Amino acid sequence: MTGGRVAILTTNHFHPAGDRVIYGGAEKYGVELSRLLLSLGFEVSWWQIGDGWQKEILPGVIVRTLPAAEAPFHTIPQLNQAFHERAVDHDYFIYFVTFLAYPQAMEASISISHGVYWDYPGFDATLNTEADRAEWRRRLGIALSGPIRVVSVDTATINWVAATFPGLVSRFEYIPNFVDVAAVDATEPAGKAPGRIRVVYPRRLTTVRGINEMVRAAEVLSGRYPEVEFHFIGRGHQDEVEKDMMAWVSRHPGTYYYWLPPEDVLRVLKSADIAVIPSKAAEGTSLACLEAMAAGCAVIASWVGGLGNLIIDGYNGLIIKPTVHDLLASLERLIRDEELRVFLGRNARETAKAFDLPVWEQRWRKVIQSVFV
Amino acid sequence: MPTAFMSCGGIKMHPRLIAMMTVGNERNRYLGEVLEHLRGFVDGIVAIDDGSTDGTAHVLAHCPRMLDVVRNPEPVMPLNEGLVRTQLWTLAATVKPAWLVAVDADEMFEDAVATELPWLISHGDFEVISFRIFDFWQNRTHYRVDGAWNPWPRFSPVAVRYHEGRDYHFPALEIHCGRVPLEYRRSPFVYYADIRLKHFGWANPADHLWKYSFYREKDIKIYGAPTPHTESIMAPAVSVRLEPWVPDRRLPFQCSGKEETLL
Amino acid sequence: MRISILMPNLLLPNGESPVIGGLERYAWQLISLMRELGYEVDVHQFAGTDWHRQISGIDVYGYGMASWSETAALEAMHQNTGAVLYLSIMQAPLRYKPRSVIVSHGVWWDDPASSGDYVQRSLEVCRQALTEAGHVVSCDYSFLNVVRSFYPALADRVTVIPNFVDLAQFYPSHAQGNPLRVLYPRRLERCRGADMFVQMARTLVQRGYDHLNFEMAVDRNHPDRNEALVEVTRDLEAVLAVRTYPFEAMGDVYRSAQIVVFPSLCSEGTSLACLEAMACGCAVVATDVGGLTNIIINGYNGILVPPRLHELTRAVEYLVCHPHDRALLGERAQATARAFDVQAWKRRWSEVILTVYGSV
Repeated sequence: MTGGRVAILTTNHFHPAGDRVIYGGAEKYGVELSRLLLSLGFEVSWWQIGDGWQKEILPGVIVRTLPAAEAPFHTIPQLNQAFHERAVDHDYFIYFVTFLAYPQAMEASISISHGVYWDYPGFDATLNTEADRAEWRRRLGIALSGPIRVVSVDTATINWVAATFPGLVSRFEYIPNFVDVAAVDATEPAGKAPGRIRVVYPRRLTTVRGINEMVRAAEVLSGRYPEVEFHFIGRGHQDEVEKDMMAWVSRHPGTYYYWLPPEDVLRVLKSADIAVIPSKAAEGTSLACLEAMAAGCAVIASWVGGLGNLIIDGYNGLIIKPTVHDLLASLERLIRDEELRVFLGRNARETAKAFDLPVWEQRWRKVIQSVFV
Repeated sequence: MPTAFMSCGGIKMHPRLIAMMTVGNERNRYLGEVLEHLRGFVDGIVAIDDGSTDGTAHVLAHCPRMLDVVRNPEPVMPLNEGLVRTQLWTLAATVKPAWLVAVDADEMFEDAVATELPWLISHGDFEVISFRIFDFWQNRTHYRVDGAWNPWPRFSPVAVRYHEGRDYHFPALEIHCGRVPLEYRRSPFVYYADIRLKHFGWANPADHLWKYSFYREKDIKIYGAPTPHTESIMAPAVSVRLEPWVPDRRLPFQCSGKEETLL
Repeated sequence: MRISILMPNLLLPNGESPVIGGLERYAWQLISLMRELGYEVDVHQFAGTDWHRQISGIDVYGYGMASWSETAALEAMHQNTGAVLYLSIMQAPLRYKPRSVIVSHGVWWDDPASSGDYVQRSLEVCRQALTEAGHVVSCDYSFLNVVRSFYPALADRVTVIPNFVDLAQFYPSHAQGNPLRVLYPRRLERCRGADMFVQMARTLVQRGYDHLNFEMAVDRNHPDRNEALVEVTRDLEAVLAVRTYPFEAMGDVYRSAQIVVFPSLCSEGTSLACLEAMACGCAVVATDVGGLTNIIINGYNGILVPPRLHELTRAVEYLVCHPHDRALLGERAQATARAFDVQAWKRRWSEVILTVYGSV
């Protein structure tokens, strides 16, 4: 690899005011992608919305900011324009989110889809008329046509594109998300009293992640099974949600609420028997799900988005419709059936190895080497 | 200088985490309790005794984790908070700690801090840990939530990673300087902790009037009039909104293998 | 209680012989389940003329008017039946009977050659099916995810029941084949990627892999296509065979192959053939199209590739050169296939049937 300069455009890897790192799956993805590019001999810079600050996120990897105020039809043409003016001295380009390649894409460029994010009922209300929805789809179609390759973290997105813009799939490359198996293996499990069954919900407390269904299920089951612990680990998008959750757990024995730095969630997952990923929408090949699998949990996942790329129902987890009814039934089944729990957890651990970080790197390397030449 | 180093298995090393605080006539308030609380998780404490006359110095002197105390003969804090904050920071810097936690003599974290904070600072890639601060009001069971008292929307930087050789500044203000230098307040590397910081400065109704008078005077001097927040100290009971403190229910996950406290 | 199954073709339009294909096998499996549950079952299908046959104790009615209007045929079926189950989403305009079940076998309009109009029409067909019938059983998560991306509020009407495999018929053998056999076990439809398979075989032969043996186990529904295929693969006749088999023989066919290829371009669910190949312990190479991605985890129990010749060839070549990985993928494919045991499929379907149609 001869090297060259890669510019990566994202929306807000960091908070626009520069005062807050937004932790999450996409950010972890960005860090690993930067590391991979560096190891291949590229220089890497990030560009995002902001008011002029700069930050170094890895040695030599600077985040620069570009002005952008409006996001019509879920695109940010101002950001795209500014990027195209300012980053011209770079050789290769990555649009970290697909819609950022609207309206134009640089020649040697790749874009990344992190999953379908428009499959929740509320999305309809963000685009009020059929004409607006058509315009959004048209723009997304243009964004998807520009880059040479579109890397998708799941096949749900590819299937959607195939069912929407049938010709466009030819530029897609399916690279599921990764889990660092060695890091998970090296993680010391958190303590657990003997005889207890630990259920973990390791996601943000938001509607699309299925928090309401999970809370209801825990409410029913915590009364029925005193040996079961329900751990909710994650922040809410509103302060009120965190407050309500703290108050809620104080009223329900066997329930716990807290949050931890991402790497520490692993410790709890390693001590857990069951992990629940009951997303209702906007889901790719969830890092949380992969980590739970690598940690050997019996995973209950919904059939939304990319989760069906990770879990084979009854083999390495259970797949459910994200409803209270299904969540209760599947949780109760696993709580009662230790043998099944162990079987699913063991297979989950084995399958997680197919998503190991080095595998992801190898797949990405192939794409990079075919486009950045 | 010898106090700046901790003995650890015979090897001299810089402390990992120290607490820093300014104190002024705290003996009959919460100081003893707070020092006892801090002992549970910090490697050492440094303090500025800001002209205390009530035996506070004695309490400080007998605190086993106390590394260093600098005494101001007369109180400076009421005149120039920025000056004392800088003084305290300079004192703390001589210890060259890896991390600093800046607390007041009437503040305590939830108990989980004892296991969580040392863990967080030992491996996190952030340089600031921010906390929600709860102002207990009239008692130690309820905290205030109306107006700017509401603890939920705001996190304050309380624990920071110390970088030797960097320049740090406090604003030259008489009040409300902030407990950590300005440089930390624009850091993108912040961890927002779920552990809550309990502030008992308003827990005793007897403290309200003199504190109100102090801030009112300062407000008039600085802004020309008392700020609404200062006025709200004396707000009638009907407009004061309180919430009961709910104990935390979290996994004490660092106590690997021997955890008994779950239910 | 009687449930009538409405479907395009269980028998050929002349009513003479059964159609060979996944849909028809699905129908037979469902019929046998319904009868086990105590329902009476009959089948109503499109036909060239009106006819009535009895096959395996089931009344099958052909509707000749389908040759000029499928809508009219469906209307007539509705008049002649009570409770109905639609074995696929109907392309012809119709009003579905309320409180009925429709089976979706995956997205069908994702052909790269589909026009924008066709896409719109197909989506509208889905929307209507979901709105009117009330229950859609999908064989893969892919269809459900596409539906949710367009009509989030309707997604809850979909229940996913992945396809099945009969483990009594499809089980592994431990014989190591020599020469190595690479199998294409699909119908000769453009969307199934038969031409890509031929091209891949040709490339591997050109690269000097002379110990390979390619077999295309195709359907008998279109003998002319089979002849044409034999014609265009004349240059490969020493190493590539085009054959047809009765379904009962397919277990042995899979067991005789080490690598099984599913080069679909589009229109794919949780393919029965793929599950069967997996259950026989074959190493599978499949495209990342539709429901195939819900049964294959790339690098774990098979290889997933984009539907492009270069990538497909590379994957097959990799398996040819790496016997250890080939065996490992085959073993795991067999282990995962157990999760698709037909008994589990029956349990899930029983729930749906009893919920929608009530007890007998």
